[in-house]
Amino acid sequence: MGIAIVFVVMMIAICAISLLFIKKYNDKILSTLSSSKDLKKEISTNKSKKIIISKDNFKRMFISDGAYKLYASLACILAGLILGLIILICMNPSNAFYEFFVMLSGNVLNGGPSAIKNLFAILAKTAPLICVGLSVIFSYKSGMFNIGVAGQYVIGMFGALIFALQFKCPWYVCLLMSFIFGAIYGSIPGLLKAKFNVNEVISGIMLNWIALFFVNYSFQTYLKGCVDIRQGMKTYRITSFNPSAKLPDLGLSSQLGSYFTIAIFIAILLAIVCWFILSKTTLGYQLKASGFNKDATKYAGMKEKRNIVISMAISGALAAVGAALYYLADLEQWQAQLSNSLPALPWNGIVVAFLAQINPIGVIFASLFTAWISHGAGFMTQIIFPNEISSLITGIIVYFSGLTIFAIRIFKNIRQKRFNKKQKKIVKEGK
Amino acid sequence: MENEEYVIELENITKEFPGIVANDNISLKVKKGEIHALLGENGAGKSTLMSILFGMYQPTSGKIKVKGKEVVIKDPNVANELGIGMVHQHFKLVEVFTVLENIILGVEPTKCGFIKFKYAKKRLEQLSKQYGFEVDFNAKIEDINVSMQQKTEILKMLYRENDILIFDEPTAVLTPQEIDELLLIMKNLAKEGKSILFISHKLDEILAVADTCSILRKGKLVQTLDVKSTTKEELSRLMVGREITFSYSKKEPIIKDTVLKIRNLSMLDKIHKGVLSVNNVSFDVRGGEIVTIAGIDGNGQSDLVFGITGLEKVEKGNIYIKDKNITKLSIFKRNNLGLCHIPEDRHKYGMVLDYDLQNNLILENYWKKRYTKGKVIQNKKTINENSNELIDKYDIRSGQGSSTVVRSMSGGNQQKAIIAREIERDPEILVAVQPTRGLDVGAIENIHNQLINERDKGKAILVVSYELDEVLKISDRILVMFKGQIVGELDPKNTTREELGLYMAGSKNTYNFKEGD
Repeated sequence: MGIAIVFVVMMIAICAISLLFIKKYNDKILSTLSSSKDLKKEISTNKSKKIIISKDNFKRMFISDGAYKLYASLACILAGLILGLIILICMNPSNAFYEFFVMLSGNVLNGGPSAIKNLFAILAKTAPLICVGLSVIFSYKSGMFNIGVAGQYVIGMFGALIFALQFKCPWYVCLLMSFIFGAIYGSIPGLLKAKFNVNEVISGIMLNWIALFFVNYSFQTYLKGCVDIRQGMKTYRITSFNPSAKLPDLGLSSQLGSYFTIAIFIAILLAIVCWFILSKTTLGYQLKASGFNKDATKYAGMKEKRNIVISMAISGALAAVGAALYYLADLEQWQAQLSNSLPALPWNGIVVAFLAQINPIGVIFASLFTAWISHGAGFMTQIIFPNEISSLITGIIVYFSGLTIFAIRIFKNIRQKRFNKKQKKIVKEGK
Repeated sequence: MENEEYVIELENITKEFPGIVANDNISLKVKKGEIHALLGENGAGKSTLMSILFGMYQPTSGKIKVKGKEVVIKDPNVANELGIGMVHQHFKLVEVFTVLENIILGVEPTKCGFIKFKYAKKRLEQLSKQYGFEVDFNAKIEDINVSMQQKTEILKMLYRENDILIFDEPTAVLTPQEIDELLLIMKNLAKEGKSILFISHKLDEILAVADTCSILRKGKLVQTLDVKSTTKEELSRLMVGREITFSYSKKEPIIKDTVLKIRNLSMLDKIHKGVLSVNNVSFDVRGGEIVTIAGIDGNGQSDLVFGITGLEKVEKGNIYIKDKNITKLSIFKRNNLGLCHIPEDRHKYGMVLDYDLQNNLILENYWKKRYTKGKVIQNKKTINENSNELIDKYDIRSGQGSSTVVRSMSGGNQQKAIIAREIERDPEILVAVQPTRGLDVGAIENIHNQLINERDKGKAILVVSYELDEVLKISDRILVMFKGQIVGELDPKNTTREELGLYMAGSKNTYNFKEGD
């Protein structure tokens, strides 16, 4: 028990510090001004204006915008955790704390014999979450809200599975095909928006259901060979049906548990690529500009309609790859008959994106946290807290985390007030 | 009890933003029934000071007294309770609501939860009679013109029984006739005992309407003086800090080849379907001259420019740049042929407000070799260099230099940035719509000089302006537009305001376009 608490504190601290560094680094790139050379130049050119900026770079790190975004994310996570704990206490006070820490530890931090296996099980679930989060971020940055992420996810799964089970292709072909399927499917709402000005939210929702029923229909009819009718129309396990389509484990699965694949590395790589595209390239420049102000991009001669389609296609492809990373790791099989509702994972992509403050790098950590909590909840004692309760708690925590934009406003207000107070002091002392 | 005659007293107000002192120890007093003008350049701190009074910002230090009592104005609601109302530069109206609904919004008179529209309307009719307003209360905001919208804003304050009225650059969006009307309304309001704070940088208006005038420069109060005993020259000197010339010494234009040719251009009206907003317009703009399109706002000038720049599709006719037909070319290609455009609506088209300055200064050039590595990756170093260069050259002022988010810059400096960007693109033809709208005397002089400079370099310049002074001052040739047609071509040296006015009102039409050689 004691060890568990220590581990939890350590986990949060490690997450916080690493996030902080990444945010800060990101900030620095965004504003070249933070290098003090430029600052001095600025002061000399603008002598008439007093420039009050703390020269202490270390201090700046803690009051930069990026840092405040991080505080907001952490505060929301904390608030969610506390609310979750309160609910548990209300239901069963004597066991609440213990079960809560079981959930937080995710059966990893307690240092049990299966700790490593559990860790990689969490990472395996993190990978698709990162991808769907990136999908939402990519479209959001260019001014679109991709709510069709679930449909693109389903189509991505479909693309990966038919090439794995029907055509028996190796994993990289399946991954590529799912990427292409997703890109095409994602570009549909983009095209509708660009050509006919159809709201992408509405077309996205419709396309979600079209994707779901199309996929289920396909598996029940002309792709019958992919599903096991005795198992309730579940697709066959890739591991036994076509091992070449399973994501490679680099021969490490014997030591790290059967969940270990390269999925997490692919996902992290994608996050870095997304960050690079958005903040370093001319395409990112155009997409962000159209996200902020479509008229100005038109005025500037950017092909704003083409950009809409490109951004939605990339967004769709990311969601689809997320599905491929999930199903090609053989974590679960698609049930073509009974799954008449859309899978939950892509929806969490929206939450993860906002928890990460629409930052492609932040989404790695946000996804890890979300996957961790939902994995840990599975270890709560079923008799005390039934399965639904653990889902409810994770839901509360995760969705509370989505409130970060609200939290960031509070934090900024506090900063402004402090700044004002300081200024008042300076003015008084000056007199 | 000397204090009692002052409605508002601001004592030693200081407001600091990160990186900038917007107001530095400003004290101000306003009497009852007085029109007090606040004069200053863009970024001098006028709007900030008024925002503090209206409760949108908290002062870093200093006291505010309203009717002799010291108050803390936490937010606009408190200001409202104290009787302070404000007409913002950009109106705060709900577009799809009617005038009546907008006015009572937030203070709806209700009975059992239902709004008493009739009662509200009666009260408003009384008010508008009292102050001489003519407003259709049932019209929707999106259907009425800017002047009516402004009257709605004023009625909103009167309906709330505010007696301290703040006008933030109210004339920036109005035509000359509407300005006269507004000034009359303001005088009436003052006569009825309302106190008015009038933010402006148009000297004529201040001289015409204000009783006292406080001049701000770079966040500091320069002087408060009695308007009756001052002159335009003195005011402008105090505001800018140096002498301002009101007329320019222009060289004779050296006319070169035709750059822009418009032939029989027609454009469809965006709002009224099937109506032509630009009707069979033909004219030329040659290198080395400034051609100004004069006319009252809404006679098709904006659509004409949209057609030339490619923002809207052309219905009929052709546009040529240097004999190349650009009628069907994309905006990107037009830009590369040397078409530069200073747009009328700088927030909508001219800038990405949430980008920083350096990224806005490459809005059309982001793809050029200088700013990229291998066509795909942005070269942040040259982008930054370019922006620092332009900031120095065009005196663009901002809190944090190149990485200032443009939204936080003052309107004048935003405009300077756009003009810097467009002129640096080395135009063949520069289309400038209302390039000095909402700017102060110093900035206007600067921008006019830039345009004249470009002219002297042999560039073709097409200006659209609604201000007669500007038209007469800078142009080499004036075209007057009325109801979508060009009705006259005038030489600024041989014409008068009165003659221009006749053309603008549509009572004269002498234009007969002949194909040049």
